[in-house]
Amino acid sequence: MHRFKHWPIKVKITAILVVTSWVSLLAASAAFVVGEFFDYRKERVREGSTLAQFVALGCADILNLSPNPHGETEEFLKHLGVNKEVKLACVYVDGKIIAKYPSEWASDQFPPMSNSKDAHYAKDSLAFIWRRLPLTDPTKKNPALCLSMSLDWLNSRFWKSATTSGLVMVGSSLLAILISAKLQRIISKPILDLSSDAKEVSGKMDYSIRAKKHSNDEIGLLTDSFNEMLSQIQKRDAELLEARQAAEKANRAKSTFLSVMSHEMRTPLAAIISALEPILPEVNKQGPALWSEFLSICYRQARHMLNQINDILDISRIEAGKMSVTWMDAEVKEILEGGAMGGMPIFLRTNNNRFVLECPGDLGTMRTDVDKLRRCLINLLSNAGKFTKNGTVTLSVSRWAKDGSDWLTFQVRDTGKGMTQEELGRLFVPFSQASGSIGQKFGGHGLGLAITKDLCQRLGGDIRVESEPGKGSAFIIDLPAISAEQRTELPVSPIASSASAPLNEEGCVLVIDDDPEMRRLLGQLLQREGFHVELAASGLEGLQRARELRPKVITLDVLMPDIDGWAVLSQLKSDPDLASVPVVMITVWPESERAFALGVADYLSKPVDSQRLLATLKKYQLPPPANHALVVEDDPDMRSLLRQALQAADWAATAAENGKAALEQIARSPNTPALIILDLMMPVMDGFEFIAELQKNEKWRRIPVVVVSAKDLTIEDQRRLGGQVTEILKKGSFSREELLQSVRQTVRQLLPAKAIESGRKVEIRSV
Amino acid sequence: MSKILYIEDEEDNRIITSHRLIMAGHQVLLAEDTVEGIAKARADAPDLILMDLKIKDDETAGLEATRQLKADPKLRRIPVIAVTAFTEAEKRTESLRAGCDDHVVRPIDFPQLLKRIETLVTASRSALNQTSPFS
Repeated sequence: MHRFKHWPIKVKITAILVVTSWVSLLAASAAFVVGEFFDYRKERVREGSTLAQFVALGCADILNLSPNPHGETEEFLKHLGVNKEVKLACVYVDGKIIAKYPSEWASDQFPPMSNSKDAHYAKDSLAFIWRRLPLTDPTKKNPALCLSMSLDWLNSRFWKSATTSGLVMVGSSLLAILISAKLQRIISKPILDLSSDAKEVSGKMDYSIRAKKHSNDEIGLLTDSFNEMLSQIQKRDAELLEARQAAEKANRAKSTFLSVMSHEMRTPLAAIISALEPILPEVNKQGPALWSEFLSICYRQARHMLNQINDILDISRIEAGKMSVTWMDAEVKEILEGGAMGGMPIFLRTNNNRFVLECPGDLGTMRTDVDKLRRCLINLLSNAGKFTKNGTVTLSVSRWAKDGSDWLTFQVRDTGKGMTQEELGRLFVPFSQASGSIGQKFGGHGLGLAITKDLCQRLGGDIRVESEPGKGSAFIIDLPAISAEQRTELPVSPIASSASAPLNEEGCVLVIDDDPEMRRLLGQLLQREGFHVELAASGLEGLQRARELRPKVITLDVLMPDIDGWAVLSQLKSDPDLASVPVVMITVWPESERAFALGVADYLSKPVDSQRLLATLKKYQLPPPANHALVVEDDPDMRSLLRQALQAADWAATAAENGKAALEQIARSPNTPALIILDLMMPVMDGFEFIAELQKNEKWRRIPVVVVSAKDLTIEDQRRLGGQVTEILKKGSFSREELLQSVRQTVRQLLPAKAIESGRKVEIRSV
Repeated sequence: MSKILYIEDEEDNRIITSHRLIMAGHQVLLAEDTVEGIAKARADAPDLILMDLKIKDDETAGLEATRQLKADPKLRRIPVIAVTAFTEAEKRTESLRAGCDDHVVRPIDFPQLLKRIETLVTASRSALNQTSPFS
């Protein structure tokens, strides 16, 4: 039965019809056979009775009249032999058999005399019929005749009709199968059609398909309901799409509104701030106290308003998940002194507070989002100023190490009224859980702190607060100098990797894009990050370049005129040499599933989020943009500055205090430095001598050298420096950015083989 | 000391920013719209152009002008710094894409701007004296 459930409906219907016809036929046959059986027996008994009647009369006559009644009766009974069905017959008088047929049988083979009544019964496939004999002699008691007829023929006839019924059943079930196979379609076809329609709808997700109605019965009703359901789904889909479009439109309108509003408010504020900034120090110094005071208020309030606008924008960005972080290396000191922080002491001068900056001399650099860090600090400082009167607001910064990585702590302390435990608990509650509408939340510091916390976490750190009522509060931000996320993207050991994976064309990124602007943008972006970039303007060119260059990573546009990105991708993936090269798809079309299915490493949609692209590329562990640099410089301050600058740009920088120490270090180290930054005027061994020593060694001769010196070079000096010096920078006249820029450019120019062979010119840069 | 062309439609900004640039020792040329700006870039060969992105309610005027400048072989070496009060990260991408060499957001961090001007002017001058490493 269990298996029956899984049969197709066609088979089920046929089976039911066949079984039903079987059962009814069986019942009919049985009834027929049984009826036949009884009919025939009755017939036989009647026939026997008639015969018995005649025989009884005959026997009675003989017994009444014959002188030898016993012998004559037996003679008479012999005539029964003509009827083969008569098996035995006997005549009883006074309880004894006086005549019997067949006469040779013994008396005990005949049934005993029971009574003298007329009767008939069947026993052992024999029908027994009893008749009284009408004798005239009353002395003869209970004269009776017993006649028995065979029922064998009846039995054989029963089996015959049973066999016939069986044959009829087989024939009829075959017929039933044939007929039901045809007829089952009346029921099964509409169901099968409906089910195939349903399958098509769900398979194609096409709700515009309608099932065909065959009849007005229950299946027709089912078809109608199914179609009605499809219409409802279609209607709902349409409504959802409409609602989504409306929501997207509203969202765009909101973004546009925020953007325009912020622009329109920032423009006049920017003008006010820009106008006040240069004159404020002058007025403070020379102008009347009242002017100075009023102008300070103007400046402070303008800054405050700008902060509020930034808060609104930040909140809406956090809400929309659009807050992005721009990582850059910066001097901590510069973060504290530049930008919005530049005017800090002035715009913090509220409530007659004193502002103190506790900041040790050397805080080094950190990799962070400078603007966002400044926003956090300004938020905390303005809060502190707002809730403190006639007190002190202190910003103290310190650098410390934990588990081998550097951290920076920014602490904003005030001498204000402090907070209770209950107030502390509510401080960083995200805005979405805070009561009241956004509009009511401004002014209070809830919004600012929620943003600050979010930003701190985005920068890889966190914020905490310590406070006691009456004793003031301290807000403490801990940030990694380089966040874990950023650090993992740097090579673990730059010196080791420089030996195993020298930066050459194998380490390049191949950009395949037909849009020249996009190529330029990606090229610039990647070069700025120190990747070696090769460009290809079409799919075919891209494939060719990929085979030549064996790039480390390929970025691939989808829509290109000659062959599209998908085709390029499948060719790349079918080339055994290139199949393992990670491919980053860049496209406007959201087909990420397809892309990943085809073996794409990552997938970015236009407009390209540069941070994400860089993070993606760094995932594939490109060789470090640069590697080991040696700084040769006698002045310790300058040495440390150069080292720091190089390290901040992901270089592994070592230092030596003069030429001799440097030579020793190069000889000792297993890795030849990729670059030497060289001062010319040094004790023990100066730069000129050092260059001359380098020239003597075949291997060292190839190391590019950037000279950093305060010395004005004569023609003779330049000749002495000769072919090895790539760049000469005059000390004191360049910025860190320029040094790094020239260092990177130098390395990038030098590393491809052709550049090394083509020789180098000495260039003096006046900077 | 550099010669800076400042393309800006709003008079207040022109006055304030140009004065601050002059106070920092630069020579300033002013243009009220991009047509005038491009003409002055041709005629006066500035060292650097400060380009307001939204001019006379046209948000793309500055980008369009930058594209024109960068398409002109004689002018493309002049570095362009985009100036805008829009804070969206996409605006920065847009202006770099249009060919701007840098992008600053109002209110201008003036010391920072001066540094960037110096860096770009220095780089473009040295590029004039040598062939570009990437060309």
